[in-house]
Amino acid sequence: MNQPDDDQLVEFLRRYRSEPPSASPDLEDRILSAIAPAPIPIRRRERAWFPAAIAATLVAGLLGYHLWSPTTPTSAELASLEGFMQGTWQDTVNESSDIDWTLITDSNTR
Amino acid sequence: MVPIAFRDRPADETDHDLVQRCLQGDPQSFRHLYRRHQQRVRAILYQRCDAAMLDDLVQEVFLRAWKGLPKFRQTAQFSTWLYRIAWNVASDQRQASAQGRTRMQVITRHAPVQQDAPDVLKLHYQDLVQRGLAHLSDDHRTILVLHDLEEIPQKEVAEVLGIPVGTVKSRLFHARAALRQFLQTEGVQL
Repeated sequence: MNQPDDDQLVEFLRRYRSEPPSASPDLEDRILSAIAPAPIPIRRRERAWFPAAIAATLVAGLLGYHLWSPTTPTSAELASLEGFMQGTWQDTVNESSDIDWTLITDSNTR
Repeated sequence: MVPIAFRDRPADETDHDLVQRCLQGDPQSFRHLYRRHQQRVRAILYQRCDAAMLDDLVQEVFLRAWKGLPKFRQTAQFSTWLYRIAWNVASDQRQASAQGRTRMQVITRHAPVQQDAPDVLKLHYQDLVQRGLAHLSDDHRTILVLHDLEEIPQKEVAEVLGIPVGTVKSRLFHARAALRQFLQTEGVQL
């Protein structure tokens, strides 16, 4: 808030300020003609990101598809897998057949 | 001659509306912005620069504004942004200027010409005010011109100069005190 003497000072300044000299009559037209051949540059950067983003998404999608999509196994791989499964399955059967179930039954019945 | 499109434009269009039209490529809207703000831009430049260069500097301010419109944040006030450009143009001109004559010499040469029947006391006070402003530091003079003479609110002055509002208040206090002291030494009690 202004002090009372501040108001007096400001009023004095406003009353006795020197006004700037008037503009030359053609200044306005000079400015307008200066801007006429210089259209406002459109900010293309803001619009350029959209197609670029779409292109980047497509490329990333294609690369991802090729990298991570499941491939068909070869016949050698299938044979190897089959051999592995047979071997492990037989081991499982053999291990379970080693257990003497009769002993367990006998001990429980005693 | 005033173009029809400009003549028909409603006077209550906001700066924001006019800026939008400018961005759509309508230079006549810029003419309206010029007419609305050129007086204050002139006054700001006048207190810091050589009066003989005033028209060129005003033109520079509005050309920079036109070119900078795409970067102008629509949330800000156009006037604040424009006065800041004026401030920058004045600062650039002051730095570039290596002239020996002071602004007071220019003022005393121009001021009496504007008066058809000069009142001696009025001329004396005008001279005192101009000498008082010239006596202040650039920071203090700027604050007085923007706030006290151009009646720009403190918050807007802070935005124009890029300083906190507290600094505006502080500078205003010291600027008024310095000017009051100057006037007192010249025999004016306020």
